[in-house]
Amino acid sequence: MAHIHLEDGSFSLFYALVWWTAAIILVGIAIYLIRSEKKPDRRKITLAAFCTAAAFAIFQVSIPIFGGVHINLTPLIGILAGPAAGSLVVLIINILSAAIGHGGWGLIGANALVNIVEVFIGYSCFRLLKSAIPDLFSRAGIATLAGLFFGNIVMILIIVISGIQGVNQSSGQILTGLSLLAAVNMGVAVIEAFVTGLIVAYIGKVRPDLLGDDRV
Amino acid sequence: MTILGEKKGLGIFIGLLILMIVVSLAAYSITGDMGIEKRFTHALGLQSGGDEEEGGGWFGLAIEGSLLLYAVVLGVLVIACYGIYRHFSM
Repeated sequence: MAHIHLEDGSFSLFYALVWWTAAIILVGIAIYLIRSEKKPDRRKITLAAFCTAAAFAIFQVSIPIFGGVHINLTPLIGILAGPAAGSLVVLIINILSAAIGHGGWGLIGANALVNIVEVFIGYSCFRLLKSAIPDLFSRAGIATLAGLFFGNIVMILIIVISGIQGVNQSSGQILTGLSLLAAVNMGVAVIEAFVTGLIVAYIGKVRPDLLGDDRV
Repeated sequence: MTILGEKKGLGIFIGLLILMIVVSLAAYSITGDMGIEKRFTHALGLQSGGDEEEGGGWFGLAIEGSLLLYAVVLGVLVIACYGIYRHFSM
């Protein structure tokens, strides 16, 4: 999981707006792609709604390992709902999470960007590895690990580029601290990869049509 | 699906899992036991103060911890969602 757990004011107003703008542009593209479909896929919309509810709930559950962490299910969102609907899903989850004090309002844009990357990489790896790794469990697990790894990299980049207000550490010190944090995060990614693999393998058994290739 | 193909995928996945576990345990032993928010403040060298910490917010306006501002922002979101729903409803 990658999520910027900082309070409002950690980023300068300029960078908060920059990440918000970037997230809005990406979500705008996603909405355009969804609306440009000739026939709305109601099944995909239903899946996206279920993903939103499930991921929002699991976002708030603290797992008592590594001092207390949570999982995101963002790569699973990408695999099931696709990158376009998935981008909308993660934006909504971040807005709802901020509404109950999980992450700052000003950081919704940055967090949405991190999660959109996880959704996109999770989706892409799952599709690209289809012929190389036919087994759904391991393919979904690998896609999840890849998605969360790149999510952590984007999280580090966003923080290093933005800088943190009121911090006197050098970029090198911040980078070291964040790298260690990301490494711990990847331990949590192991759990998320396992959970995602099991869910996708189960869906593949009972409703293989939900894992179709026609996702936008 | 061939058994070899299935085992190959599982082998790669297990290999990655072991690598991630080793790396994360090493990082965990360096950073110590702390919650995710404290881990962030520690990583960035922020003072792990409470909500009243100085310097938080923009222009002296801290949204986090302010119930009134949470209610205002939530109200705006509800109105915006209703507007979007009405606009796009078929």
